[in-house]
Amino acid sequence: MKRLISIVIIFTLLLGFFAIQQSHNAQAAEDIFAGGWPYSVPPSGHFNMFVPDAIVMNFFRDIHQLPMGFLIWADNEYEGYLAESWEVDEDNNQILVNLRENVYWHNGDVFNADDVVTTFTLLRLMGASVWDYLGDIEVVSDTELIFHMDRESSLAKRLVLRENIVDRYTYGEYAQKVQQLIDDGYDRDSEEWSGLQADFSEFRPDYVNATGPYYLDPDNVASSRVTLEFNENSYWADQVHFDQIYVYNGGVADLTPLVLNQQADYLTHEFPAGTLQSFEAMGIEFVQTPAVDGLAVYFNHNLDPLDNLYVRKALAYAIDREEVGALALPGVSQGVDWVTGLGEPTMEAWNIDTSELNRYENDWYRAVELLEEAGLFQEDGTWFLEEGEPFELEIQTPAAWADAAVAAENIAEQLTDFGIKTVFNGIEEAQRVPNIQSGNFELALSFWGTGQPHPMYAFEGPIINDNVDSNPGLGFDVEVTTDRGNFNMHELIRASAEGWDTSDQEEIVNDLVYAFNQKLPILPVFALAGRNLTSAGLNTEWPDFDDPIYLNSPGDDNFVIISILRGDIKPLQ
Amino acid sequence: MIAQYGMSMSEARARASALYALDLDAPLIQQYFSYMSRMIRGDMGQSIRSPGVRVSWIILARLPWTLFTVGTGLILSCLIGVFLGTISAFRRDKWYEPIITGTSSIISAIPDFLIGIFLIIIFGIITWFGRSEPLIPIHSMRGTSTPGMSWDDGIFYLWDILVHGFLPITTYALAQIGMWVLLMKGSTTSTLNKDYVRLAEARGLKNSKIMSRYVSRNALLPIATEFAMRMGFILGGSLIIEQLFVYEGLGLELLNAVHNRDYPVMQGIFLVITSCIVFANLFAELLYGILDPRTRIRRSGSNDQN
Repeated sequence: MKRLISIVIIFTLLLGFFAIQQSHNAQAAEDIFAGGWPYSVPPSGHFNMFVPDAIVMNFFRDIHQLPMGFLIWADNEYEGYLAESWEVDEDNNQILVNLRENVYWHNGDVFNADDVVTTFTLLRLMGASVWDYLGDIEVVSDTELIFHMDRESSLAKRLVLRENIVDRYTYGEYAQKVQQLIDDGYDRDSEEWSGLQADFSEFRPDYVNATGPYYLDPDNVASSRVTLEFNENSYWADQVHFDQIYVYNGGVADLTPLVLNQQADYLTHEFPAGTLQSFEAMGIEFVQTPAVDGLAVYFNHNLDPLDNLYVRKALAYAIDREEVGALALPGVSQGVDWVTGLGEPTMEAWNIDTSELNRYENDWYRAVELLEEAGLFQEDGTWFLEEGEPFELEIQTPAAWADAAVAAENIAEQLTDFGIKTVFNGIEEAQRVPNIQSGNFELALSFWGTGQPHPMYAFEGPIINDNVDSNPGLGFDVEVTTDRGNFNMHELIRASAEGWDTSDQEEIVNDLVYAFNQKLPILPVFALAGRNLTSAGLNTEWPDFDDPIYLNSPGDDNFVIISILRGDIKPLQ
Repeated sequence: MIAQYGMSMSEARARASALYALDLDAPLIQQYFSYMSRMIRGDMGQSIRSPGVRVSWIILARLPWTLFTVGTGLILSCLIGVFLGTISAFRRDKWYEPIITGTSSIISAIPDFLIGIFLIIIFGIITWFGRSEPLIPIHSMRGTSTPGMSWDDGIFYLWDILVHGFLPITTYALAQIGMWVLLMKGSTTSTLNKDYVRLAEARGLKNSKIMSRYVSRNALLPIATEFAMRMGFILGGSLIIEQLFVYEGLGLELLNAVHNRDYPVMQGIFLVITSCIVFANLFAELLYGILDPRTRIRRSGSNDQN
């Protein structure tokens, strides 16, 4: 009996091992491109792409539900996909779009203007920002549309062209309901509108139609990965070289074993320095991405003495940003040179004049002068407030963010050495934004900069969302007086995107940058020049790493997605 | 919701009211009883991050996977641990006894997530015996099943589930096996010294009979109680392991809910975990009474005296 049981166990184990190997070999036979992004499987995750927690997988959506165009950052021009051509008619404040012909959805339907209208109608229902500018969409023919704008803005072209287009087959019924509400005279503030919004939020499609060369089959969504299958109906089907796209579920820790197994072809995850070294030793290559954002010290201006500009400037001089940048995420993070709220590539693109900007280079003598001017005094190496209490600070940031936690600890050490006792408070990731917006912090490390081409987005987050629109938020007074004049920074931010001509906007952006540099609402500390992991030369063939396509922002017009669509990334033969 | 989704106070109130189906203008005590009555009927409200999805649907979707892996790991570890513990207690003079006991002590001191990481590194990353690939293709064993497979695939789907559950189950089993060995060994050793065992030996009964009828039955009493109590922690003890293997069970769902501040889902899962622990403790108490007649007799005896 014992012998029989032993034989059965051994046989079962061998069978299991064989089955695993077989499945492994079966997968290896196809040309697969594998990336990664965290998502939740149904029922919490779902396929209504307009509602939170949909299985969007960030830029991987761009490969199955294409936009009308992608921006090629190097030449600041759009490359057409669902749209063949477009024209901005500045005189009539409208954008004319010609759609590409002979484009079919995965279900066989012809792609046409109705799909675009369906998409934008649902974006209107859900309050998308494009409708802050858009007034109406006119369908001229199946392939011609006119977007009539209510407000002139250079952002409009991007907001129109870059939106992922969904199909009327899946979403048409809801689009018709929205249109009916509009025809009946209801607006965003009406109960009927909110009711339809709530109803649509509960809509759970069981099919995801696609124009791209791959499609998302809900049956192929598992907790391990999503498999995007080849879509032979796609206009771009002949251009791509992979049979399937895998998107593995997970963050840095979950995906590390896959990288070590050489099963990942592209990841934007930021791996710790030690892990990166191991990867490099394996021959894995990385693409350097533009340093357009990073982490900044957020000051709580509601608190004394952080409401004092001299104190904020003193802290800027006291912190050695280069040291913080070198330690936070070696090889990726770098101390900020210019305290402007913009990454250097964005500053360059927008012709920012740096001649009048303060660099706030590490200078403790200057910091001492400024604190004394603010009325603080120093005794036995410790700084005291005017009232005689010791000047102590707490800096908070999510403990789980390795780079931010290291940076916060280093800043705390530097300030403590300077005489301002500072402690690091590691918080839960989900508390970061609520703490800042409710003013529940002294110093906090959070984001600065933007991956979007327009600089407005860099200032919108800290100065409007976390400040003007929050109570009490940062508590930064947006009415500022500078050598260049008096500004309302909130209005400047809004004005920076007004009008079609970006050269007119450059002057406003320069004023905005100057005011930011002078008043320090936040202090950008280090920029993240991301290193995206690739399988170039190992499993796949990529364009040379000095190709201008890599100037594209990975988060917004991902160069890998565009390169796959162009057929420039292919399996290694 | 105000901070996370940028809602106004009135919008957030309306949303909270809809999520829990509560009248927020009613007195608090009335809201509480309304909430509790729904809870008892299994209505735990709706998820914040995924509007329209009931918390109970999420729990029902995730619970079987956690029960399968943690439950199987618990049963396996208990069976193997009891077996090895009994051997090491009976064969204290053999060369392998210190190996079993020592290894068990070491394993029981290692946290389960470290065991999981070791398993991934040893079997899923390092290549052995000159092979070009590791022993286990870890990338195709993540998650609960292979994408595209379903119950329509019959026995192959079952096999696929087993393959995907292999590493989490092994982790749970290894993490607990040491404890069962040591517990069983201690319990058996103390039973071996009892008068009734010595009497049985003096009567010349066979070793196997003494082992099965006299020792094991009594030595298993604390094991049964511990097993019943551990059943309560089946659901709560799976967070990190499920994250490690991207196994979409209740633990991973709880982690996601925490990260997304999805309070209804958190509340629902905590309720299930707490209920499980409470009922497991109750079950342990009842089980002990059934397994050990002396406790019942003593109680009834004391009642008689009163």
